[in-house]
Amino acid sequence: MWQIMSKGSTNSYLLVFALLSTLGITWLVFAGIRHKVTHEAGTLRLNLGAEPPSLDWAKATDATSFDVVSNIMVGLTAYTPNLSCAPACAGSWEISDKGRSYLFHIRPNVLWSDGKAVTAYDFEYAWRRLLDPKTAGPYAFFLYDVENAFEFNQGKLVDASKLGFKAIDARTFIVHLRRPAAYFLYLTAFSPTFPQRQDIIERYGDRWTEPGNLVSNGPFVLKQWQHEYKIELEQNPLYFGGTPLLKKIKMFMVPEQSTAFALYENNELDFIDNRSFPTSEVELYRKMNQHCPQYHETSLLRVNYLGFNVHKPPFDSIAVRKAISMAVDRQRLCRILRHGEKPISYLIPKPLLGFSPFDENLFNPAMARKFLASAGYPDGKNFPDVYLLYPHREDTRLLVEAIQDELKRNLNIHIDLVNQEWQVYLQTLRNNSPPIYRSAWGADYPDPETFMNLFTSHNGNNNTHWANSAYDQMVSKAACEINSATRAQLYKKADYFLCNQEVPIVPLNTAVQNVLIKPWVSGIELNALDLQFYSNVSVGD
Amino acid sequence: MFRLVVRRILLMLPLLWLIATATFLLMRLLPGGPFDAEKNLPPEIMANLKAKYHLDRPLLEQYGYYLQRLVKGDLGMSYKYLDRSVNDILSNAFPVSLVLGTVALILAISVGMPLGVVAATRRGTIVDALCMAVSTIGVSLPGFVMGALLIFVFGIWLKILPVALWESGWHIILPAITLACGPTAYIARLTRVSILQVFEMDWVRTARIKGQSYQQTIIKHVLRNALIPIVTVFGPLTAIIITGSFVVEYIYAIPGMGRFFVTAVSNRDYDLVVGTTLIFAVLLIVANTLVDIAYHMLDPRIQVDTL
Amino acid sequence: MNLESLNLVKRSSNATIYKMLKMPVTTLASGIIFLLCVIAILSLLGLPLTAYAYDQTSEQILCAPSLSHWMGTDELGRDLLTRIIYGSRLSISIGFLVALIAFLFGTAYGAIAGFAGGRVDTLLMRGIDLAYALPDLLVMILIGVVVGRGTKGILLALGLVSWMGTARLVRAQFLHLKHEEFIEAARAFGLEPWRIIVRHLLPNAIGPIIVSLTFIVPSAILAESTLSFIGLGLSPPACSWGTLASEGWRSLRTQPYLIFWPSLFIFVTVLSFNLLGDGLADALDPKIRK
Repeated sequence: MWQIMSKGSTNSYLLVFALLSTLGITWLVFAGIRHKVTHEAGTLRLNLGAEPPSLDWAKATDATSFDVVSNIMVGLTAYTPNLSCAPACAGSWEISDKGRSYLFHIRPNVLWSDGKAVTAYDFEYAWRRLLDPKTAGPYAFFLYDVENAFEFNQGKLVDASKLGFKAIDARTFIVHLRRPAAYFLYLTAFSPTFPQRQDIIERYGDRWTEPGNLVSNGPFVLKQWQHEYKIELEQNPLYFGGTPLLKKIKMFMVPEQSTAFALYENNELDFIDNRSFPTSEVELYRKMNQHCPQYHETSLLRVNYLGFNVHKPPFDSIAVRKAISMAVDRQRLCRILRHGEKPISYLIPKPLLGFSPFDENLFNPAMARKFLASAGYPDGKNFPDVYLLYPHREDTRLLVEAIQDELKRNLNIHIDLVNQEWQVYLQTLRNNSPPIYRSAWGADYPDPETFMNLFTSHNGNNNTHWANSAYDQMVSKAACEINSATRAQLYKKADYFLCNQEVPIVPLNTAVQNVLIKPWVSGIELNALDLQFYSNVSVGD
Repeated sequence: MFRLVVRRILLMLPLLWLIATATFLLMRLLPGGPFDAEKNLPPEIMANLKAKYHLDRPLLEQYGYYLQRLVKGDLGMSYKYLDRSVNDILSNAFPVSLVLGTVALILAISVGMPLGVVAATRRGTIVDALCMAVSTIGVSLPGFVMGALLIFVFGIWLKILPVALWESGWHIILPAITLACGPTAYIARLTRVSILQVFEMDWVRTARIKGQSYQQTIIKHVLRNALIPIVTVFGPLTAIIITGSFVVEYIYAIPGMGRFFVTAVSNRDYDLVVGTTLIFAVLLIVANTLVDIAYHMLDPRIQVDTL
Repeated sequence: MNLESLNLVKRSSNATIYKMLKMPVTTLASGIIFLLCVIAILSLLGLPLTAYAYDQTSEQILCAPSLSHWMGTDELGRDLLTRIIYGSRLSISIGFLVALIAFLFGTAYGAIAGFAGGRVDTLLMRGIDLAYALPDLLVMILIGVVVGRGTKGILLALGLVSWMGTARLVRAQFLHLKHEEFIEAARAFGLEPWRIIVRHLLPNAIGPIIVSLTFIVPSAILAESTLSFIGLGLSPPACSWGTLASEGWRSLRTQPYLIFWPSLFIFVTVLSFNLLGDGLADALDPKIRK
């Protein structure tokens, strides 16, 4: 049949087709070469990695939300690059009553993006809202040092006017603490204490964080929010610190690390950090360190740890928890993670007060097995089925797989690994904490208190459900101690109690931030709190 | 003809109703959602949810409310995005997926059909084997591997195309190519087989014997009848493109419906899941209906076996 | 009567195999599939084909392919070749099991529809339309979330989306064969319907059914790898080729062997099945002459 067809005609079809395709491809290549993907002056493009669960800074609890909020808002004070508190909304302040009273003088020229002035009433409203039990903000504990704050948040006190802070007039804000706290000023630089506008929130309800509704007082304003895709910030000409150099910031949400890295390589992103930096590439760049000006790294005040839900068997037994803590070789974990992490035995990281160095003798599989046997599971027999929850992110998968392997080899127990998307993971932790979970905590301020009070009984982020009044007292005593040497000792004691005796958590390693910055970007400064401020960044030509 | 259209549309309705019901039931089964008793949400939020979803009423009543909502065209509220309506979200995501899918479809047809034609007319030769090899490769690699290769070659090595995101027209190219690989292979193989089958038909031989020129034969009869199976598989093709879009939109960080579906399921965002499922179902059913209509228009006589 | 129809079937199947073997590509494909199945079975039986266990970690992290590790090691120091061999049992058995599910369920469904005809047929066809109305991956993801991760969930999910093609095919075949003479005669003879279906209709319809099944296996393998990539596949340390490929995706530039080898295996397997299916289709089709 096919021989009937003359070769001539098929050839003509083939020829036409081939010609068209060649033309098409050539055009594509030429057009592509002329259209070079490159940067836009005055615009910073970066990757948030995930959709921020909430931009309401009374409810936000994770780094993606903070990254956005830190650039659209300022509080009473603001962090400098070396993490001290500089005046922001508050031009000056006085501390009196042996560190129990703070009087802030609000600057007259700090404006919201709709032109209204920032007043002390905005702070009063925001702080009340943060502590309001109806808001259910996980960061309510932040203000527990304030008089009556704890009682109010627990619902025992209903009258908000009895709270220990007050707006005396539009420019004066006074705070009374129930006991002196050396770190209190730091708290005013962090987002839960930022001011909020009562009229806006009451008018728009749950939708007040949408662009167009949201007003803010920081260097940038929220211009556009394409959910699951990108957030666009624009410079705020009304910012009291002067209009920032950047005109626009585009924060994309690319969850895939490799895609994000490819974007950076292809000049579609100007700055990436760990969220977009696959481990294998990090390794390469660390080796090239001196020869690659784009690469920077800094150790963070951020700790990776395993948490137990101490209400769920078999982790209600201290022996089991200790067994697991002793069976995990943190040094090996750091070798596997390859970002430059350091292993830790205790919660407080270097160089904070109360830091205890890593003790490699605490890794003791033989002892761990003894503990496990004493709990009723000799050689891992009859160990119940448990699962370890971790968020769906590349580096965490590696960590938990390694831990699963360690536990198998050293204790002969098997744990299942379950992963969830970041937001679901956060919700699960809060509402139905799993038997074991992998978590991380980055310091909110450069003081050991931020780590230690995480596991006090009433902290909204304590997902272990471990509540120990002895520990609470130890931390409380350390928090109001003035003498730093004594303070360090007190914190050390609490740390030892937490990580060696009760073991509701297993601290694993401190984290490192590895970044790549394109040569046309200047002004990005890394800090140990992993906060990213872009008000002094510029993107040239 | 008109009766046919009406009949097919009427058939669509019970199908959609079945899917809506199935999704409703599936929603209730999914663990970890607002309907999961294990969760202890703050009382404020629980009260909110109860009011919205009528959770305290018997199941049948809830079902009634649900259907009422759907009939009005209201796909509900997103659980995750703070009261943003599903209609709102999908109306932004749908055009993105539509553009991507259409471009991929056009690519697939314009590359797949000629491949199939060439392979069929050169049956048994190396050209045939080569064309089929190329198209089989398209279906033999997982989508994300293909995507990785394309990103690497065009974005990182040659640096001539954007590798991800959805910011300009150029951003359509790589994802569309990745998405088109499977369908291209599918169409190529299908075209080849159906052309070969048509060649065997007596009436084609008759036409040749009668003296019509070769080109006329090809154009008038063979190609036209080879179109029939393409039209026929337009339905499954739409399905392939929809499913392909999940992976492609994920790799290339494109804010389309496929990506929303995957994240909605992970987030247990029920109304969004139901909304996307229903829209996909509607798309498929519409595609299949159009296929039936076009099929009848082309030629009701020819029977073509589905592959 | 029975003997005759049996002979018919036997003769044509012999002819089919003979025709197939004459095609070099198809023979090669069958050979590859046979080899992979042998490896999978050996792995299932627990025979150690390499010096390592699949979950045996070591300190040699991310070693390039070498004499001690033919395909290199992954981020936990596990030998990639061993993991691929272990993965073969998962991937191939998932492929075959899904085909089996599709075969059993799809054939039964299609047989009833085709044989009964009339309203039963119309009703059942609506069922297939319904099943087609939802995209595959969508159903798989939904099922995966409900049933949870693990082989059971994946099998259920993949099986649920693969049976329709077989059902349609069987139905078409039955509708066609129903009117053949020997079936009419069997009916006149008084044989019960199920007997007719199983002993007469099925053997003659089996050809195209096997061809369609040959295409289900590769699509199941690909679907499983896509599920793994999205994050709904098997949990660690279990590994199929799909999970290995998706894990290796991230290290594309620095350790390309991590994605190269699993993808190669997926590719070769899927390709072989597709070529085998093509060959079978060609061999079985009486109309297309060689």
